[in-house]
Amino acid sequence: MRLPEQRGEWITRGKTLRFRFEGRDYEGLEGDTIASALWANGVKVLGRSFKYHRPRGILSAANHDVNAMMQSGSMPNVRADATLLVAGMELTAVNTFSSLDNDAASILGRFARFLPVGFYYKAFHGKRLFPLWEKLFRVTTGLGKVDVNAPRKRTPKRYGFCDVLVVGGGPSGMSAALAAAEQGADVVLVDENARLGGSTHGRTDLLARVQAQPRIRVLTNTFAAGYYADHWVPLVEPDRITKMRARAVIVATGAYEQPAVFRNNDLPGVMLASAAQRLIHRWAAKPAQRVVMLAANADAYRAVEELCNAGIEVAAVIDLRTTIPEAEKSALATRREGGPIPLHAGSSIIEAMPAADGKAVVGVRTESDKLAGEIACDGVLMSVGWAPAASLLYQAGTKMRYDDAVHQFVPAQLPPGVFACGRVNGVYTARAADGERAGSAAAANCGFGVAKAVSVPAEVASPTHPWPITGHPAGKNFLDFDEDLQLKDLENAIQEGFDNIELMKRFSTVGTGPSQGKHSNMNALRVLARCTGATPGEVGTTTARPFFHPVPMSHLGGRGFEPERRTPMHTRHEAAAAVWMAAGVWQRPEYYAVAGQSRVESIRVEALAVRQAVGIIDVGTLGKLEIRGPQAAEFLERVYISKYAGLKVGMTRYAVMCDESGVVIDDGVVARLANDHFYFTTTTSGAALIYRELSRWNTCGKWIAASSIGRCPGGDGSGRTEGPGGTRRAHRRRSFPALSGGA
Amino acid sequence: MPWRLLRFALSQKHPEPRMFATHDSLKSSYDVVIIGAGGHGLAAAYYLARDHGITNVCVLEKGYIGGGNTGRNTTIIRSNYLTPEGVKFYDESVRLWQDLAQDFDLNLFYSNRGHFTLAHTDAAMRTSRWRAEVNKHYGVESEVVDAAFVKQAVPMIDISCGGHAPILGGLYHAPGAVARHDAVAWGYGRGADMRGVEIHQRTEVLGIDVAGGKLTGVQTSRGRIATNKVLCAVAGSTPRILKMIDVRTPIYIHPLQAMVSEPVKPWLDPILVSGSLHIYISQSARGELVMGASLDPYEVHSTRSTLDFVEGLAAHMLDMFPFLSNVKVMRQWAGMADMTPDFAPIMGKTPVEGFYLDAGWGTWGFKATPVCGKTMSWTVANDRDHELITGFTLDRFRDFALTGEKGAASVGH
Amino acid sequence: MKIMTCPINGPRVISEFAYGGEIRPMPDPAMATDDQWADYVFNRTGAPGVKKEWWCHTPSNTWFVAERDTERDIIQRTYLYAGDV
Ligand SMILES: Cc1cc2nc3c(=O)[nH]c(=O)nc-3n(C[C@H](O)[C@H](O)[C@H](O)COP(=O)(O)OP(=O)(O)OC[C@H]3O[C@@H](n4cnc5c(N)ncnc54)[C@H](O)[C@@H]3O)c2cc1C
Repeated sequence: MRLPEQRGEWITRGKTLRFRFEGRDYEGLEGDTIASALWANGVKVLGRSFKYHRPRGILSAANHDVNAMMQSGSMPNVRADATLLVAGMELTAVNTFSSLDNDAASILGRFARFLPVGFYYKAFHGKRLFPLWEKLFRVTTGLGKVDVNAPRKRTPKRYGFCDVLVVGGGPSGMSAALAAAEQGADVVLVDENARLGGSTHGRTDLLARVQAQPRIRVLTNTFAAGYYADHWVPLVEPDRITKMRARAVIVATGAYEQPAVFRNNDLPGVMLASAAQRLIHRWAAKPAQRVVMLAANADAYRAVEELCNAGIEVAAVIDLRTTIPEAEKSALATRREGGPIPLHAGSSIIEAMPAADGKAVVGVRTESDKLAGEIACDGVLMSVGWAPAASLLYQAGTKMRYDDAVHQFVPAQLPPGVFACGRVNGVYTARAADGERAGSAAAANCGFGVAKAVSVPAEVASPTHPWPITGHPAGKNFLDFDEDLQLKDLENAIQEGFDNIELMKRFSTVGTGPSQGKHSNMNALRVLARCTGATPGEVGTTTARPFFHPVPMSHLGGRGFEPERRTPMHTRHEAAAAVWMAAGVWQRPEYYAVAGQSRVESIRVEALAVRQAVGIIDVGTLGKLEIRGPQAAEFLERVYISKYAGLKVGMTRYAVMCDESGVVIDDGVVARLANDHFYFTTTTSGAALIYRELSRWNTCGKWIAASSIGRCPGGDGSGRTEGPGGTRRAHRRRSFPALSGGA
Repeated sequence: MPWRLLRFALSQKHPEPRMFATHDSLKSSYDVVIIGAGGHGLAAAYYLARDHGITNVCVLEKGYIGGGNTGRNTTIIRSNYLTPEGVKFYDESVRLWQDLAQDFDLNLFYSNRGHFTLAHTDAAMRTSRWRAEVNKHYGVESEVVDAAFVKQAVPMIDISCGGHAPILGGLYHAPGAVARHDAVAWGYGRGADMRGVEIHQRTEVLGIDVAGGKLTGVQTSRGRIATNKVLCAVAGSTPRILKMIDVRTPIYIHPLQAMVSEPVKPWLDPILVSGSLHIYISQSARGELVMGASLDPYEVHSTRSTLDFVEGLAAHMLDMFPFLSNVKVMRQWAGMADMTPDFAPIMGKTPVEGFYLDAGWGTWGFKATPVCGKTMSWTVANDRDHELITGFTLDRFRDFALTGEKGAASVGH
Repeated sequence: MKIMTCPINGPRVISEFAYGGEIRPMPDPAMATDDQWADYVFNRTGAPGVKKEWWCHTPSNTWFVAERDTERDIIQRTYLYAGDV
């Protein structure tokens, strides 16, 4: 269902886009993502989970809804929550058997008890039977389908330069960009969303100031895929990649909202509170009619206000905390006609209740004894905490520490030229101030002004709950939605000895799915800490490797330039009907086609001609070097095995080159042009290498007084005659004195 | 549904014990100390206990089991090498691989997929023929095939590779396989643990005591251990350990990187390697495309990633499979490869009595895990180099008698 | 991409450079025993540390010396070879 117009919404009303999903026709609006359009159409089952094929809907609406991946024509694994809807799209959910509605593989959910964590290590390995089982696995595995007939996409690449690169356009990122630009720095501000603003949903005056600041270049729909040495950051846009070289990088990437773990927390309709906020503010899609909020922070109460403003009924707030600040609670008082919204403090959701067909949430059961029965609802929102989006910081080599005041990892020591602000830095309240601090410091780091002292007050209450996890004997309390891992899977992995964070990840596969643990790593770490009696800080995180979000091969491959080299005789070969072959980057005639004859016959004709008369071989691809100097001959004798001191001017000699261990590495011909001047060749493939290596010997001058080595331009032609008639018809393009074979 | 999974459904509690015990403290001495709980170190411990009855053994690991190159590699298993020493050695390894899962009672996902080394030049075709001849001579299945054969096996390949590096044919090696790397380490670890070997994770070797040319003990982050025999199987950290005993070797460290795509439905059965494009690819049991390329160009002792690596690899992969344009790369990573000048390992006894080396495994040592465990445990038990490793001893450099495997190992791993 | 400073051409991306390995003193080829020569040819200081290395800026074919921390890949200094390393 579509809500009335929301201030700053991203959709254009009146611009409808028709598309198909799972064989049915729908209409969305320009500005919709696939997921928001479907949600607005009342479609709540967007995909099936990886292992048990459970129906799944929207979780984050922030590019980690891995269970809502679509096949769109020849595009596999299209993320519905982050992909703009385009008219005419033909979409199906990936990895379903028969259809999304009636997924035959959902039977696997019934067998879950047989399929504990790592079950596949414990069976199927009989030597004869494994290949059969494997065939079956290969049918069930994988997500989208590749279309082997799809053409190569050649995506342009661009180089960018700036003083300060700010990653993340929320309040901290925007104010960092402003502070840096106001001190004179050239700033680039990128955000993966279609618009700046982050969680403020545009309700901030920073936006107008950023737009008015000429020294800030804004790139939206763009994500920083990784951090590489010397502030080298690939910015991935829909149809291009920009490799940005910055002098300082500010990471203002915010935090991922984290799910709570309770039974059936994966039912369509159960989502992060921030996902509901995105649905409302960006796409005016009604998240649900009547929701229950599972809360553990102030964000939950702000979300409740927004939900009420949007006309969504909040049935109850269940807060994991026993004491809740009055300021937060006040939001509940005036919001309902029949009295304040009921609040259950110090309680938790034990389980979400599924509809009869299992495809939607219809209520929740809670821990609170005041509530005997169930609370009916068609939406459950989770607002229990955050995990920093710190992967760029890790890649840059930042040392992180666990901060008990905010129950998250925060930077402890940043590398030179790297800055962090906002939620990723553990700052939730004074985000703009923190951004200003970082922006000013980054500009100063590049030589613009001095770093301002900005006071950033500490958080009064933790925005994150340390244990948003509720056990249930019947399981199905999911901790990793990509991989369909339940709480007990992790506990069992730990029991089996996989009790450090890396081993646990590898055995259970937590965090290895397409979202790379964005919503699961933190809870997994908490489970491990609790099971082993360690603190989260002691447990530590796994290594955050690139990429931040997956990057298409086309973007990485770029346009694929393949330089090709031709010899000066190229046109002559062409005139002689040459059939070409590649020799490294060079084009060489493989043979000369004789009309009406096969390849082999043509080659025979040529061989015969050379045997009986004369032929010319184009050796223009060889490396051609010159050396001059009083000790030129001595130099050559060091690198070639023969003697050259006695070679007469005008004579040539075959030459074999060895490395220091005596292994032959190259060969060619040496010609003496003058007493102190030789011309010599290398193999085609050795050309660059040998020249470079000889130059090094010449530089280190250990036993040779200065000679000069030059590389003759590759375009210079040289031919060699072959066959008995050769010496009589010597063919040379270069104006050398006549050379003849040396002794 | 196999019966063995039934016990999980029938039991209230998860019916699985720990795979490896934890030990509160180190003993003051062991008969053998193994440095490095990668596949190689754990395999040696396993066979020492199982085949030689030597169980007073500890394996010291500075991080976690399998956390080195074992857990980072792209798991290509093959035996189609170039030198007789290499072919015999890797062939024995492939034999051991085939029964390993049953020995361990652990599924290693040892998957026989067939392996192509594609040739795009005449020179590469010549090397293929050479390898095929050596392989067949030693009874290893290996065939030179033409472009049509490749196209039939992998119909979706662009045989012209975008027009600039047409595939002429290649070497086909039917036994080529992949396996689940971590499980190999766990299987050996569990097997060793069951037989009394102690595995100590988060225990770093900081020094080695040598007196009069003989090994006497090991200094660790958790105290000193007395021992007369140490097996060093630390891959990318080998030069650090060798520095402790002042032994010089040709080993140098360059990073080797790799990347993996998002899971897609299986479409690629065999393992493909292209020497000319410097790339290789296989598709895992999870549907991810595992892709790699050649070694980084200079020495670095860290596992940092570079962007140029993924750019180059992707560009060349698209030459071969243009339709992968639409597939997304999920993650990249690196390991530290312990390289040697001849692309063959360095194994066996060393100038320090009681110090045994299993190193120089560079970019190709995963496949050798079983046979290294076998031969190194024998060597340590008998204080004599096992006959299969005599082509790989450190002396060969002093004698200028290299075991040149470059032609078969540089990209293919 | 990493940046390296060529003593002649200034800072450039590392893909413009070729690595030439650690600078190792060569024994006198005429005097060295086979063992000494083998040690020189094959063996190296494989352990990490700050090393003096050969690097070449390939477009200009400039060989020079870089002092680099091979553990963290940090280039500390680059300069032209003056025969004294
Ligand atoms: C990206 C990549 C791809 C590869 N692909 C292939 C392939 O396809 N096929 C193939 O056959 N090979 C491949 N290899 C090579 C292969 O991974 C290795 O040769 C092999 O895994 C080495 O195993 P290992 O047990 O000797 O070493 P590792 O697995 O590295 O184990 C060594 C262990 O020693 C520990 N250690 C180090 N120093 C100390 C210390 N001081 N104290 C205590 N412990 C210490 C380390 O923490 C580590 O766990 C690849 C390598 C990489 C990096």
